[in-house]
Amino acid sequence: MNPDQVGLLIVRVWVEPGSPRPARLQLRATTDPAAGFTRTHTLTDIEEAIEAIRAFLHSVLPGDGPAPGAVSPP
Amino acid sequence: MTSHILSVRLLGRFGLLNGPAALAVPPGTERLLALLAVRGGAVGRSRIAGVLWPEVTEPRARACLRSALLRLPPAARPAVQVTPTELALVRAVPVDLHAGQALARRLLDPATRPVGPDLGSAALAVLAAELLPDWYDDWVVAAGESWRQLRLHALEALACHLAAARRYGEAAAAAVAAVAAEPLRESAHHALISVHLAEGNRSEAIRQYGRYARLLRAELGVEPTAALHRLLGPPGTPGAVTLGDTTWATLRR
Repeated sequence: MNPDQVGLLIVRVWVEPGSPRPARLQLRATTDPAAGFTRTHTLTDIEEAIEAIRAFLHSVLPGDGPAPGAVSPP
Repeated sequence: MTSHILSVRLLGRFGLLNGPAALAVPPGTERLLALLAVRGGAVGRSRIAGVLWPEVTEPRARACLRSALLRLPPAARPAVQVTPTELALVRAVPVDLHAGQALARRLLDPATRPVGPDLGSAALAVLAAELLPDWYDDWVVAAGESWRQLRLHALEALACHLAAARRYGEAAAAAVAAVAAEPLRESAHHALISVHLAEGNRSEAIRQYGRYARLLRAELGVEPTAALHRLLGPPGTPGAVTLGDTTWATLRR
């Protein structure tokens, strides 16, 4: 990995009472903190959020190999 | 020069102000003043050095701290209380964040009905501002999230107070600021729709509901809650907004 590579990820979580899918998981990410957050994505599913976090970590740590459980093309 | 005319601005962008004039401050000193202003009390020198310069050795971090103190503009030196072990911003130096937090707590206090400046345009401007938005240090991000949560609730409460006072234009502006701060937060849309309904502007309320519904579908694939939909029911139905104290109860979910 590039030793100067930096990643910043903030997960905001809140609940919308009364919604059929009440969880709100908002991911704000950047690999260039000086430029501010470059990606914002909001999800309602915890597993999807975990996958998004995993993908972000692998994007910051490219030499870290494929994500565990990642499906390789045939 | 006395310290009482000095003030620190943290909302929107950093500023060390001498009356209305901004003093030029080197970046390291700026971060030191911001940390002291955010913490709001005495902070140990070792802790400050570790927080502000985490990537260097402890002796080097302490040297950076000494350098930041030495570079404090002479006019600003009365603002910082220095002891051999701790530093603090002098209590008499106003910090806009602290004023904003106090304002937000007054607006959210159910036993208080705010009047005067708490309902003015300056209050809205304070609550609409982020804490040091271009700073990404851990301690700023954590403090910024805390302020964000407080101001989101306070903006909705401000909209509610202004609507109860029949100041609908300002109430809508406060609710719009809440929506802008977090477009997916339903209570912000609830506040804005309620203001439109309280003003008798049903068509605008329906348009706002539609905008929020489209956003939710596009972003999350979900619909607004039944409670929000009930707001648009005909007058007299459960959840429909009326003026006065009922507006309170409806907005302050």
